Order: sequence, then C-alpha cells, then structure tokens
Amino acid sequence: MAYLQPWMLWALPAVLLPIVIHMLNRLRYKTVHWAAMIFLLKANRAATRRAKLRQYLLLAFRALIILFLIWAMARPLVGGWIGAAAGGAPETVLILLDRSASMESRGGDAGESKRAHGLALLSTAAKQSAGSRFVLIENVLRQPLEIANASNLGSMQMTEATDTAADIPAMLRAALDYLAKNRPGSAEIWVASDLQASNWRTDSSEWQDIDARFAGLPQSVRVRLLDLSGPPAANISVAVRAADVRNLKGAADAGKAQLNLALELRAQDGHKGTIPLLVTREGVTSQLDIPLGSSVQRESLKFDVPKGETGWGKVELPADANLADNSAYFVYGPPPALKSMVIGEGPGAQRIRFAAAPDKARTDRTAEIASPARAGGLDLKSVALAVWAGTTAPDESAAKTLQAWVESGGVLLCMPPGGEGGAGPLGLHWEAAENAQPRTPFRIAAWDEIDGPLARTDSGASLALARLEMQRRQLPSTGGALHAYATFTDGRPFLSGRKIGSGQLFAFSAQPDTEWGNFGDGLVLLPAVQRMLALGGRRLAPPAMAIAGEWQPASPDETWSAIETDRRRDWRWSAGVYQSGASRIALNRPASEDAPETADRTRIPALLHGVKLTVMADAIELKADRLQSEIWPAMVIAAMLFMCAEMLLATSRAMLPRRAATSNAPEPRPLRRIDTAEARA
Amino acid sequence: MAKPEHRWDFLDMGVISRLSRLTVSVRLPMLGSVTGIHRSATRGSSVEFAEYRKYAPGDDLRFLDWRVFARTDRFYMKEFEADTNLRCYVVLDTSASMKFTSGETTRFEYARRIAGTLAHLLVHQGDALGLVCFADKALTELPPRRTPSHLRQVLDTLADAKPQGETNLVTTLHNLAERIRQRSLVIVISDLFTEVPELLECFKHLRFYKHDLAVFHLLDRQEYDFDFHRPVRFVDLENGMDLITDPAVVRDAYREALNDYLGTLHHGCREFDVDYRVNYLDESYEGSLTSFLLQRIKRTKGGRR
Repeated sequence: MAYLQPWMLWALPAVLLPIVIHMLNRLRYKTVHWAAMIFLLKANRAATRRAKLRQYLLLAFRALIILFLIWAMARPLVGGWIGAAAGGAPETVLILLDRSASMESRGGDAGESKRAHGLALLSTAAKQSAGSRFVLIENVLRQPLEIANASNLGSMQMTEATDTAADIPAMLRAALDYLAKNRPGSAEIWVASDLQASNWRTDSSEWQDIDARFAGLPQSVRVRLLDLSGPPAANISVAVRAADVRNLKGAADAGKAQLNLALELRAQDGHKGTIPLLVTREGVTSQLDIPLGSSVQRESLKFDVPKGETGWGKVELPADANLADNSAYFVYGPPPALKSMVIGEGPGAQRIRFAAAPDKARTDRTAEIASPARAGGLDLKSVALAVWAGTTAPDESAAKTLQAWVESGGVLLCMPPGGEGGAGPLGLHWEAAENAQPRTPFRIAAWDEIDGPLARTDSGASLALARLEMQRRQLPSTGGALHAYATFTDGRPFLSGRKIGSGQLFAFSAQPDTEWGNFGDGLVLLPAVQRMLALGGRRLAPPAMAIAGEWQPASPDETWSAIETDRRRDWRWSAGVYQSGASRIALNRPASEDAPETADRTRIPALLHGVKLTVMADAIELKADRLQSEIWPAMVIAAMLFMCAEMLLATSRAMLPRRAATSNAPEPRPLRRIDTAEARA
Repeated sequence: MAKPEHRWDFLDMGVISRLSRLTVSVRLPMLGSVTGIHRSATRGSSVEFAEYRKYAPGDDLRFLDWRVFARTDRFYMKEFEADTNLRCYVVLDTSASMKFTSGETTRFEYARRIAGTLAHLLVHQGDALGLVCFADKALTELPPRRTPSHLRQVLDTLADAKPQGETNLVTTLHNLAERIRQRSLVIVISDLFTEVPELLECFKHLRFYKHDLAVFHLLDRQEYDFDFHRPVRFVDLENGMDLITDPAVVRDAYREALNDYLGTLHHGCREFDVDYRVNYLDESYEGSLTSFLLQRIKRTKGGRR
C-alpha cells in the first residue's frame, strides 16, 4: 500500500495513546488503606472477567479509531502496481515508454490506444510518487529526458505515437547507462509496453548482459512493468513491401511504365471478406476492394505511370483497432540503370553477362565484359555488380581497385577459376577443382530461402536449386568465415558470401559451364545474379523506401520534410514520404510491428531474475483512476463506526457485572439522633 | 462529675451522665454472685413476688404464707425474684482493620468510646465488667470485677490498646464461650470482617451457654457506599496485600457481596437471638448506645427505673 502523505505514518505510535492514558490513569491511582478487603476480593473475582473484556474492547476501539484516523490522514492508496512504498518514493523514476506502432492498438473499453492508456496510468502513478525525479526514455531516440512534471506525460511530443519499432533491451541498456552515469540513490524503472515479441526479443542473449548489469548496480533497482498486452483486436494492417516501376515494351505501350505495388495485408483476428483499400497516388485517391482470404495476404497492384516519372503515394485501410498500421507509403521512380562488369573470358563470362543483362532492349540492365588483364584500370564507380571470372588471380592494381570498390559498397561475385585453384580476389583462395563420381553428381542439399540471392521469389516460389547437378566443383575459402547461402549434400558450400566493408563478396563453387554441370542453364544463375545486381544497385541509387526509426539521412545537414503536411511529421519516427531537394523517401513502420505475437509474460521474471520485478498484468483493462485509488473515506467511515461502537459500549451496561436484583441486607439507616430525652420518654 | 484523665479522652462524661439514667440491662436472667439490679435465674429475697411452692422441711418459715395456710391448711412458701449482679464481657476487636475511617473517627476510636462508656455505666450500676481486647496474637483479658479500681484498669487498658495485626474474632469468641463459667452479657464490638458462617457458629456457641450476646457491628459509610471514582490501590490494613482496581468496574459486585454478607449476618443473628446492630462511624455513638439501652430495657421483663 502506498501513501500520499507517508510522513503521517510517523504519528502511528499515537495509536497507543488510549492505552498509555489508561495505564497512566491506573498509575495515578489513589492508595487507600482498606479494611473490607474480603468483599473487594470477591467483587474483583466476579467483576474482572467481563469488565476486563469490556475494558480491553474499549481500549481496542479507541486505538482503532486513532489508527484509522491516522491511516486516513496518510491518504493510503490501493492498487497493485506501485505496491508497498514503505520506504517512500524512489529518488529517480525512469519511465521506459514503448511508443512503437503496435502500441497504437486500441484495447480495453475506453477506446484509447495502449500508448495513451499506458501514459494515463503512468501519469497517475507519477502523481503518487511526487518526490521523485522522472526521466523518460522512449523507444526512438532512447535518450534520457528529464521531465519536470510527470503528469503531463500524455501531452509531450516525445510520447506521441510513432511508426517505429521498439527495442526493449536497448531501452533497458539506455536506462542502465543513465543509472550508471547519474548514480541516483534509489531508482525504479517503469516500463510500459505491449510485450510485442519482436520488441522484447526474449530469446536474445542480450538479456543475460542486462541482467548482469542490473546485478552490478550499487543500488537495488525495482522494475515495474505495465503489461499493456491485450487480446487480438479486429485489426488489419497493410504494408508496402515493394514499389517497382518497370518500363513497358511493345509499340502500344511505348513511353509507358508500370508501377508494381507489392502489398501485404495481415488480419489479426482472421477477418474474412472484402475490404476497401484506398490507394493515393500523386494526390489522386482511388478505392480498390480487396477480398481477404487469409490472415496474411500478399497483393500485387499494377498501375500505369508515365515513363521516367517519379512519384509517391500511399495505401490506406479503413479505421480499425490500430490506426497506426492502416497506411503505408511508397515512392516510385524510373528504375535505376544497373550496370554489371564481368571480368573474364570464355563462355562462362558470356553466360554471366547474359544473366546480368538478359534483355538487350532494356536500358536499365547493361553488362560489359572486360579482360582481367586490364582490370586494374577499370572505372567501377557506376558499376552495380562486378563478376570476377578470370582464371588467374587479379594483379596488384586490380586487387586494390576491387578491394576499394567493394569496401565502398560494391558487390563482387567470384566464379571459380578451374584447374588447381589458387588465389582469387580479396583474399579468396580456391581449392583444387574436384570431379564428381560418375552418376553421382554434386547436388545442392540446402539453401537460404529467407534471405540472400537464393531466397524465394516474391510469389513465394523456391529457386530450382534442387535441380542442379554438378559434375565438377571448386570450393572457395578465405581467412575469415564465409557464410554459406547454399550447401552441397556433403555440407560444402555452393554459394558462399561475406561482408567486406559496406560491400559484399559472393563466390559460387561452380562455373556456369556445361562441363561443370547444369548451373549454366540459368534457372539459378539468372535470379541470383539479378539479386546481386539489385543489391549492388542500392549503392548507386538511394533507397526509395525505408523503415521509420531506422533510416538516417546520409548527412546530418540534410533537411527532410514531409510531403504530406496534414499533420506534424518527423522523419525520426513518423511514417510518410519525406523529401530533401529532389530526393524522396517513403518511411514505413517495420514489418515486425504488424506481427501480433507477444512475448510470454511468464518468461520475463526469468529474464530479469536478479531484479525486483513487479508486473501489472492486464493493465489495459485497468482504469487510470483505478491504478491507485485513495481509500481514506473508507478509513474515516471505519473510524466513525468504531467511535459509535465505543460510545455504545461505554454507555451501556451490557458488559458490566450483573447488578444484584434484590438485596436482603438492611439499608443503611438514616442518621437518627436518639437523645436521652426520648429515652426518658 | 470529675473530669476524666487525659488518657481517657475516649470517655465523654456528658454522654455518660446522660446515659447513666438508663440501665444496662440484660434480656435473660443472670446468675450473679451478689445482689444487684438484674433478674436472677434463682429465687431470691427481693420485694418482687415470683411464685408459690410447696413447703419443704428446712425452709425458712419467714416466707411461709400463713394466709394460704389459714385458707387451705397447706404450707406454701412465697418465693421472690432474686436480684443479682451482672457479669459483662466487652469483647473489643483490636485488629488493624479497626484503624479504618473515611471521616474523623476511626473504627477503633468509635469502638473504644462505646466500650469505655458501657464499662463506665456497668461498673457504676454495680455490675462486674470484664474486657477482652483481641487481635491476631495479642489478647488482653481482664476478668469481670465490680470495683471502681477495676474500672480504672479497664479504661487504662482501653487507652493503651492499639489496633494492629490480623483479626481472629472466631477463635477468640469460641475460647471465650468455653471459658466463661456463668451466664454473662457478651458485648462484641468489631467490624466482623470474617466469613459469616464461622461467625454465626461463634454466636451459636455463646448462645448455647445462655450468654446474652450483643454485637456492635461497626461499618464506615464508605465501606458501604464504595464511592470511589478513580482507580484505587486498596491496601489491606491487616496483611498489607494490595489490589489495584477500577472501582467503577467492581462497585456493583462489591455491593452485591457486601449486601449478601450483611443479609446473611442479619438473618443469622435473628435466628440465634443475638442483639445485633450495625453502626456507621458517622453516626453518633451516643445515639447508638441510647437506642441499644432503650431496646434492652423494653425487652427486659421487670426492667426498673
């Protein structure tokens, strides 16, 4: 139980006042020398049992009256979250506010978002910890921000809704940093979160570190968690996964391009039926009715756009339980021309060039073949993907050029040289080529279908790696670890890769040559090379879409302002389309925010097992004024009841010894002077 | 009348002079040794005719009723009431509880006044007076005598007596009952704070030997009213035991116990024909004695003066 005026509790010893007065009264007795002890002892024996009980009851009532009055004056609060604050308010309260997009979900009866509800609860709780210093750490900036008046939490800019994700472990680390730096005498950390699994990452090993840091704090820090998770509400979210513009071919479509919007719709409660989707593009809004058949549905929308034109738009869903995930933004523009440079000779190099630019009519994909001999003098600045298909190691100048280029963000694909192997570019080393046993070609057993060049297509189809049969292979190795994107049946890598600087190095273990197998057919080579090309193209063209909260301008001097001016937006945390000069970017909330999974509440104490943790479960159902409610009126009523009881007992003879019904003793005779005159008569 | 000596200040000669017009009488015939003013159990030579009886040889012919002989030719002897003196034992409780008072006069002082006055009256009407002052251990006993010098001794003893020790009224009275050989008037002056059944046994014992028993039961008004309001530490006057209690709590039970005690005592005294009277210390002892003497005179057949 917490108290608004805990200092009143110092008056609690006053409860003993009636007893002390009683004792003093007893001590203040008069000493009487008495002769008729025989009756007194009898009376004492008879009277004391009930009378003593009555006396004790009276004393108890009086003590209780004072107890309840003092208690009422201390203004006690009930409610489980703040709990027993017998030691008074902590010196510092760190409020860790999760204001990720999922916190905009509406729960409870009030119809307010989880964030607003959490803020209301926190403000209420803060009022009752008035002596503390409040520091807000929210999920976007994670900068400790001292708050003068914690009751204004709800109206602060730093507590407004965002379209970002929250990183709870990082927020806790920020709080720990603050505690380590400022060394408050006593501190509490109040966390308000909806326990979204992606925000908490309970499987992460970071928690061990956090727990260890809590254990290392000099002061004991209590963590109070306001669990705002709620049951899944009627919510549908929309996200734009990609917005590509493809130039159309053919006479009829000359000068036209097609915008391909890849949308992802998620219905949290298994909503089925048709939903109206508003697509706004260049200020024109159109409505599309999308039939919703599954909980996660991918939609591809195609729009004709003028060729070479840039634009932006957004898709919107009607209002539902979470307003923050009802819109998604996109920016489109003419596809950047991606140039590939194949350094090598022979049919293998030709096949790679073909895979990099399969359609000569398209100007956005070009590929050149260069001789390894003059690789040192190549200008790779505008190249998105370079392929080393040489049979020898690059010479010193070529190696330097490639190293610098990859480190600046280029993507280099290395093909095996064949033969006895030897050194490759960027420290790559090729083992000797090995041939497969007859009739048992090398096959691909496993590959990364989630990420990387061999991931599934947008439509979810796997690449045909299972159909590859290699007669020959040559395995790469480097000084560092290589990540295997695909492995043969014996576990050796088919496609390995490694990050170097901000660029990437890939290496296939087979040449696209018929002598080596069917890798050259292109079923795998083409999409893989195209994806590597797209990856390398990111360096050349700034991204058109990014995640709010993660994206940073290339230089801090740039000024990015929202194209939509209907509400205040900040690129740091709001989704929207922002522009700086001619550049535009569409920021959307992270995909993880649309996932309804919540962390297992019961696991959290285990994560922070060394920390005093109080979890206010089902806080979403709790009214803000019920978090901590004052109960002094009840105390006063109780005190009054005890007063009545005391009065009744004090005035009634209920507990007193029974009065003798009739007395057969002679009443004391009145004084009657019989004088001698009467005697004479 | 001469002023009493200072140490006999419990004697008020004014009271004595007023009371001296009354007789200390007994309700029963006594067996005195000398002629006195009290009716004797035997026949004597007073002027009061008692009865006739048949002549027996050797009878004094002076008391032969010749007229009856003339009428009936039979010898009848006239018998007359004998007047004899009285033996009186004043039994005075000198236990420490007698020190109690809520006013000016202690119970002991009151008792001494009654005892002294009665002693004075009795000796001056020619009766023998004995004194028994008893407490726990001390027992002062003066045998009954009629002489004025004995009165002085009695009064000196009274003046010297000090209330102390615990009471042993029951033992004292039983011993006394066994020791007094002749019928006597036994006047007990005490607070009687002892168990009633035992006390009544004593009275019964005394009455069995045909003693005339009078009891002055001395009570303080406060002992009856118990009008304390603050917590009080009651210290027993006799054994020093103390008891702290709230009078408000025990008052009713106390009164109930006291009334029970008084009721039983009163009833018992009536049953054994004990001349029992309760005296409150704020009453005048003169009035009490006057009523005591008057009642006895009324009950005495042939009371004189």
